[in-house]
Amino acid sequence: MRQSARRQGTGLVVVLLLAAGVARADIGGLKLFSAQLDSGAVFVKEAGFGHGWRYGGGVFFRTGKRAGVEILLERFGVPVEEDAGGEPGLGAGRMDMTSLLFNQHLFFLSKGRILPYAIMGVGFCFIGYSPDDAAVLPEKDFVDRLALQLGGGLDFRVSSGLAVCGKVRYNMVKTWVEDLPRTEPIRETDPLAQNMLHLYGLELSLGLKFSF
Amino acid sequence: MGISTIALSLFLGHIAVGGLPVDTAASGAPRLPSFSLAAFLPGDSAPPPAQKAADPPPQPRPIRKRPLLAAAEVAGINLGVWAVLHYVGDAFYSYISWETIRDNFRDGFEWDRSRYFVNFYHHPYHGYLYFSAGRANGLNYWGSALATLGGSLMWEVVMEKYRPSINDLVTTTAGGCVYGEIGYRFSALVRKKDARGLGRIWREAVGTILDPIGGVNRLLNGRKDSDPGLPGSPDAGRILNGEVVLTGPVVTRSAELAGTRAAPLVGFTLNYGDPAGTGWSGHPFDVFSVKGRLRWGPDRPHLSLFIHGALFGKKFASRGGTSHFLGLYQHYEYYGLDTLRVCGTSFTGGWSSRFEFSPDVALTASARLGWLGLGSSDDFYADPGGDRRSYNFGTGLTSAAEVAIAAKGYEYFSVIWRHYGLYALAVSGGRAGRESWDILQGQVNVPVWEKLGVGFVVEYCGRRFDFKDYPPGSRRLVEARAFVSCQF
Repeated sequence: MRQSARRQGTGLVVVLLLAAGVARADIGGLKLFSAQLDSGAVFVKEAGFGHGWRYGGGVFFRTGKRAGVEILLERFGVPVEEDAGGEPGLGAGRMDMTSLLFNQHLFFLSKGRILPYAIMGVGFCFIGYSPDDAAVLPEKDFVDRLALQLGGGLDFRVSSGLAVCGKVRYNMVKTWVEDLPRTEPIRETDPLAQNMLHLYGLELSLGLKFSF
Repeated sequence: MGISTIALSLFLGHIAVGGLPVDTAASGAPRLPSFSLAAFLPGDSAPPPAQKAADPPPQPRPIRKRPLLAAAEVAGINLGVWAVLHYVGDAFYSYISWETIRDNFRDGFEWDRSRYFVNFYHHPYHGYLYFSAGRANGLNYWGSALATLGGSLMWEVVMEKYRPSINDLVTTTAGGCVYGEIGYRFSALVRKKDARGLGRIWREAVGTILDPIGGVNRLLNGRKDSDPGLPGSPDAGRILNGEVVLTGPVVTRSAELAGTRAAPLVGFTLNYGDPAGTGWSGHPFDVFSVKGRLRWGPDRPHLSLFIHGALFGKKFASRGGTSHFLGLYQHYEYYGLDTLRVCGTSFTGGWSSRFEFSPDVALTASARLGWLGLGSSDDFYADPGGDRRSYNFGTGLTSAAEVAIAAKGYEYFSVIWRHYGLYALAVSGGRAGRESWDILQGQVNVPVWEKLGVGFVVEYCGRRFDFKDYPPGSRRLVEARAFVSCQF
């Protein structure tokens, strides 16, 4: 595991150095449109929830000199211990979260190779749960939620069309576990009467951004 | 029974910013008392000389419209309010997801059951922010009204887990437009393009309170003074006059409400433009009036607000300073007096005239009649412990008439009558039926020293109601107040 990570890191550095070497000195400001792919790790801060890998991809539109909007689809999965988050009857298994994110980027710099920025936005989070014992059908599930996204990032622009982007972001999901099958629309459930789980996930990612 | 007044005063000024509108001087109409905050701020330049005051108002240069940015800011307001409600307030209705949005689209609108103050005061304030976003990005009144409607629709359908509410949509949009436009106009009166130092800080702070999103935009954009889109710049020079009144305990009589009660009150009247059309340049709310008051007790503070502004209009000038104005008005009104509460948003057609008996004495009279689109009033029969909603929704007719006599710019006498005819809607557990409200207020005011004066006002509020399955009835309340005032 450690060897694999070291190999990946070395490979990334080599790619960056090569790309930077051939890049022109003046690479201008932010481009109007970008596509991006990234991957990284996620750490869920609720008791009984572990950490795992995440990956995602999306597009970015510049909306101002120092502002842009990112629309990203991401997915991650983390292990869940038995009775995690103080939820009785929740068996050990795995939680998967697929999120459609709408994030505003506010850039501190608008030109140059290094562009740091703040991230804030919201994400529609679709949360799934699968118990470890495949023979047992899940009787419980996590309720889907809209969640706030807060964080920051940094684009290292290798050339005018290519950047390496690193991000740190909190995905702030407040939800609960419900019994299946659901018998009434979710809006009829009083959320304040539930055992609220704060599935605040710290997400670290590294990716490539292709600008046009 | 007899209770005297307490005398205090609030000082406001008497000066114009950037000159009066040209038609005031040209038509020979009496110079109305006007007001600006310009004179009180350290570091500000002196007011323009009298000759300057007769110059034409600055012509607005083309303003760059940014509808997409306005839409983005409206969405941002909603997401920001939602984030605060969800993560700080832990509001139960903020737990939303893709499913709640889908269900809201599928199930459509319903009537909301929130508390009276929330539905008829908080929601218009929310709309105020949307409208402010529109104005801050160069949209005109109608464009900003569309932004308000869009923001309210987004909130109702997306940002709450409940089904969207039709009455919230109406009050947020209609009330938001009214609050937003007057806030925008007042902000433009307070701010001054070339102010510096403490004066600049003071003006921008007050201007931001009055026009919140415009203030935030100016802060983020680095206060671009030269930006022709600076909100309000075309509006410099509007006439603003009015009064501030302060009373001690008042005398209140009502057989139905068990005798005499006492409550202090602070109130104000602000007239932007002139009811008889001076200052009208064809834009919505070039002419409007705001009357507000806060009345303490006996149970809780009672807020009253009467706002009406002209959406469309035509002025007619006659000889000898007499002038007339025919207009279509938008209203947002919120009246509270003890257990008598009524509010609503309405549209009326009306006429205002000012007659000059001599160069110093003028009589202003106006009358309006129209549709009370969505109103609400207390429901005496509701169980306050068993139902959060203790009021009925209604629609109907509204009318008003006002007469005032002023001499040398000081208003000595005024009478105002307001009528609301409500047909209560049997929605969301409401009681079907009819009710009729009449509010009559007569006031005499005498100057004591410069613009400070003392006066006496008598106010009558009567309500007759006839609800299905309940006996008809009425309530009346008469209140007498002596006051200290400052007219400007």
